[in-house]
Formats: sequence, structure tokens, C-alpha cells
Amino acid sequence: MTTSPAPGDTEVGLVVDRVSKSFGGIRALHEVSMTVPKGQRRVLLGPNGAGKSVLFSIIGGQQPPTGGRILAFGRDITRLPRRRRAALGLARTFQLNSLFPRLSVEENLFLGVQALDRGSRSLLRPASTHRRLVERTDELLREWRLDDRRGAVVEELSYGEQRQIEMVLALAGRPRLLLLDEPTSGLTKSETDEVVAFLGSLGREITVLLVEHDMDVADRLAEWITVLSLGEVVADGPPGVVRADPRVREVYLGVSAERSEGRDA
Amino acid sequence: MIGSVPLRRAALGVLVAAALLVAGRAVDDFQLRLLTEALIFGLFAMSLDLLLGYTGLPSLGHAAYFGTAAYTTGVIAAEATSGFWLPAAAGVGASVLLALLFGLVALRTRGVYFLMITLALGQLTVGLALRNRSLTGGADGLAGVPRPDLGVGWNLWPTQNFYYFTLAVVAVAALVLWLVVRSPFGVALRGIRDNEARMDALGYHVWLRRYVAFVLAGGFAGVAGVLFVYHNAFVSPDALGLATSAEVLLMVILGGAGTLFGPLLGAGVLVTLNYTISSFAERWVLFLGAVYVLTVLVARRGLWRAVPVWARGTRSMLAGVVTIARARTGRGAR
Ligand SMILES: Nc1ncnc2c1ncn2[C@@H]1O[C@H](COP(=O)(O)OP(=O)(O)O)[C@@H](O)[C@H]1O
Ligand SMILES: [Mg+2]
Repeated sequence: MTTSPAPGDTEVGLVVDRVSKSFGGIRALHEVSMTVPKGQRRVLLGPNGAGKSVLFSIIGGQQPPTGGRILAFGRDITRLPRRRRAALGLARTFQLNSLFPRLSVEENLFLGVQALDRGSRSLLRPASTHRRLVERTDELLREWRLDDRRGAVVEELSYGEQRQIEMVLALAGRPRLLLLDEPTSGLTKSETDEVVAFLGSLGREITVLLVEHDMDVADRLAEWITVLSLGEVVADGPPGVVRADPRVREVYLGVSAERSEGRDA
Repeated sequence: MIGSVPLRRAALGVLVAAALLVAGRAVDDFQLRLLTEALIFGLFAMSLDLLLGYTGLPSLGHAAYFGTAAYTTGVIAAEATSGFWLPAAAGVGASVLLALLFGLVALRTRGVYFLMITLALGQLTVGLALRNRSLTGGADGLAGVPRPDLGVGWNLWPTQNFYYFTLAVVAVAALVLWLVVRSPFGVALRGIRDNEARMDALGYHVWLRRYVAFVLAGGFAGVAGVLFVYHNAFVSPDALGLATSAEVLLMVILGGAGTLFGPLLGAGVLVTLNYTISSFAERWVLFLGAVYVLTVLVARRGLWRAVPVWARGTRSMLAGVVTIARARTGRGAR
């Protein structure tokens, strides 16, 4: 494996340390390790069923690992409650949109904004009078050009718009570690370009770990690529090195080529 | 704006409040008693809406908190003091304590299991009321609860005075509930209703917010229970049981879950119907079933949300009539 920072390093954003996960007899992850330095844009590649989403659930705390540890910013979070992870600055999106379908766009973002704010405990003061929360919500609406959609009920938006909100919701609380599970899946070419441009413009105070199927998107964003196959890391390195790795060509690129042909058809 | 109210809705609210104020002087004693009861059940239904409509928790045992307050206040008022504050505070306090306790059990479940466990817990309180005869009067109920003495020289025995007293209490309670659903906490409750998992991932303490909502709902049901026992001068185990819980649930659904004021309307409709057709009392449950089916068929999202739609429909119908009439007179003139 290529050299990357060691666990315990203060410059480290995320450490996955020999994480395993089994569902009954099915082994979804086997001793997966990776180290993501602070501020890096890391892409997690791998064919369907490789275990990428399961790894995200373990980092996010939605599922416990069968073995191994997770460290965020040098702190062991393996058994930390999910809301404590969020408070540490960890935010994630889901492969399938997970929004508040009956609430408006504005209310969806407001929920993202107030999640880590003490103002969310306020019981008798109208939400609209919490200036800090309202201003941040407005800022997000402007930034993502959702201004004219603010009153629209989310379940009535297009898929592309919903996919976008899925990501804005995670960004609303200004996370330090952002996990994005296939953020561009199902998006049109121009919507994908927008997401790529936005991720490119994110500040270095945010560490990004991103699952991506589209090799082209991965190429444009990744500073480092980790390839997962059948629950194991098969490659880990800069994009050029990983691309040239024959094992990667075998387990991923072959499948990917087939898939993108299938998609074009 | 987050949680802002459409102007027309607000205007409607002001209109209803004015009508309720005038009603105290305009209608006879029988109708006033009916209106008092509608307000009491309206508050009871609003408290349940906080659970069902806002938090997504369908309770079939909400009468437990209503009835517990009614019994507690009733026993103290009948046995110990003619004052208001002690029995009332004890009544609401008892509901809050019960909700603090039952919430720990009920909130371990969701959906239909929540429905079943709240039902079971509610029936448990019925059993307790039946058993503790010496305190509650058992199946005969607790009779002879006197109207309280507020200690401010306002006699609550006359129907009209008690009506205004009830209106004041319900108005204040409704205002507080309205502030709660518009607060960041209220937005969070709706978030939990829509998608618990995402709220959790965003960093919310979902369980704690549900628990607070559960206890608040129990407490406001308790306020309604206190009014109920003073209004009725009597409380029986029925007030704790499934029939009452189902009825208040229907009030919420009929009025519109998640609208807060809709359930007040739903309560008004059901209380009025109950009085009008009380001659066939044994068919009441059958009748409630019919109302439920009709609601689901005609106004699935409740009367409150249907009102603007009907208003629009009526207006366009009127406009149509006017157009036709004009066309006719035009033709006639020619
Ligand atoms: N809750 C679960 N129960 C059983 N098996 C699961 C569960 N979640 C995921 N798996 C299995 O784990 C493997 C990895 O899934 P996943 O992480 O979703 O793959 P992907 O890399 O496409 O995101 C798959 O074989 C999947 O069927
Ligand atoms: Mg996946």
C-alpha cells in the first residue's frame, strides 16, 4: 500500500482501522483500513456491492462494525452516539435521498442549519425570529439558487433538485468531515458539472470522502483514490497510480466500462 | 418565512375568536354548555395533534392524561378545597407525571406498535380507576365536583361565566401550543415525523424531542381534563378509556392532523353531532365510524385544509352564477 499519514497524527481527518462487518454469514467488509488527511478530497471507488455504503454507515454510526475502529480528528468515535459525531463535525448524505418530503425547501434547510445550534432547543420563540438560523438558511438558498423554490414542498421537486438538497442539508451545519454517497447519481450532465464545480470550490477546512461511480467525475475531483472490491481495499493511491494498477482495471474499470456502455444504450 | 401563517388563515382565526366572544352573550344556556364542552374537547384534541400531526405519533391512549387530571382535580375539589389553583395544579401535575412515566415505555415503539402500547397503557388507568373505589367511586364514577372559587370574586357557577373562563384558559393554552409548533422545536418535530433517520444523522437528539412532545401533549390534555371535571361536575372511567381516546383521535383527523386549529374545529363538529343525535346514543359508535369513513373519502386531509378549497369552489361557483345571470339579463334586454 502507498504511504499515507499514520493514525494519531493531528493532520489526520479520518482513520478507518481494520474495520470488518458481517451480516449473518455475508462478509460485507473485511479489515478495511484507510487514512484520509485533513482537507483531502478522497474518492472511494468500487463496483456495486463492494461495501462502500456499508463503510459510510459505520463511519456515520448508523451501523456498528463487527470489528475495528474509526477515528475522526484523532478521536476514537467507533462507539460514539451519532449526534456526538455530528457535533464533532461529521456530516453525510445517503445514496437514496433522505429528506423531509412534506416540508418546504426552506424548512428542510432550516433543519440542517439548526441541528447543531442551541437555538433548536427553543420552545416558545418563533423559528422566524432566530436571526442567525434564518440568515444561514437564506444564505444557503441564495448560494444554491433555490431562492425561488423556498416555499415548494420537497416531495414535489424534480429528482435533480431533491438530490441537490440532499447535499445542501449535509453542508448546512458547516461540517469538517463530509461523506457523500454517490452525490451525482441520477443527475444530468449539467447538474453533475454543477456539483463537481461546487465541491471544487469547497474550502480546505473540509475533508471530503466521496463515493463515485463515474470515473470521469472521480478523475476531476480525486486527490487520492481508494478502491474497494468485495469488502476489501484493493488499491489506495493517487489517481494516476490507481488507474494504472492492473488489479483495479480488472475489478473496477472493466465493470465500469460495461456499465457506462449499458447506461448509454 | 419559516412557520409563518397565511394572512387569510390569521384573519379567519380572529373572526372565530370574535364569534366565540360574542356567542357568550348571544346564545342560550344549553348551547353555551355545548360550546364550553366543544372548547374543552378542542384543547384536548389540539394536545393530541402535537403528537399525531406534528410528531407522527398515533396515540390511542391519550384519554389517560385527560382523565387522570379530571380525577385528581375532582377528588381534591370534592374532598379538600373549593379553591382552584391547588386542585388544578395537582390535576395537570398528575398528567405530566403519568406522561413522564408512560412516555418511557411507549416511546420504545413506533407506528402501529405505538398505537397498541398507548392503548394498553390507557386501559391500565381505567383498571386503576375501577379498582380504587374508595377514591374514585369505581364504575359509578366521581360525582358532586363543585365549581372552583378563583378567589377573585368571579362566580363560576353561572353557565355564562364558566364559558368565558373556559374560553380564556383554552385561548391561552392554544396560544402556547401555537408558539410551540412554530418554534425551532416545532419544526424539528415535523422533521422527526417526516424522517427520523435523517434527523438523527443531522445530530438531533430525536428521542428527547419526542419525549418532550409526549409530556407536553399529556400536560395540555391534563389542562383540558381539569376544565372537563369542573364543567361536568362528574367523571367516570369512560373519561380514561378507549372510547374517549378514539373519539379525540377522530376529532384530530376530522379537523386535520398537523394543523393545530383544525382539531378544535373537529371537536366542535363532533360535540355538536353528539348532542343532536344523542337520542340514538347506542348508535353513536356506529355513527363515529361513518364520520371517519366520510372524512377519509371527502376531506382526507381534514376540514381545516378543506375550508380554503371549498371557499375557492364556492367563489368560482358564485362567479359562474353571476356570469350566467348577466348573460341572461343581457339577452333579455336585447
Ligand atoms: N443491512 C444489510 N443486511 C444484509 N446485507 C447487507 C446490508 N447492507 C448491505 N448488505 C450487503 O453488503 C454488501 C455491500 O453493500 P453496499 O455497501 O451497499 O455496496 P456498495 O459498495 O454498492 O455501496 C452487499 O452485498 C449488500 O448486499
Ligand atoms: Mg452504495
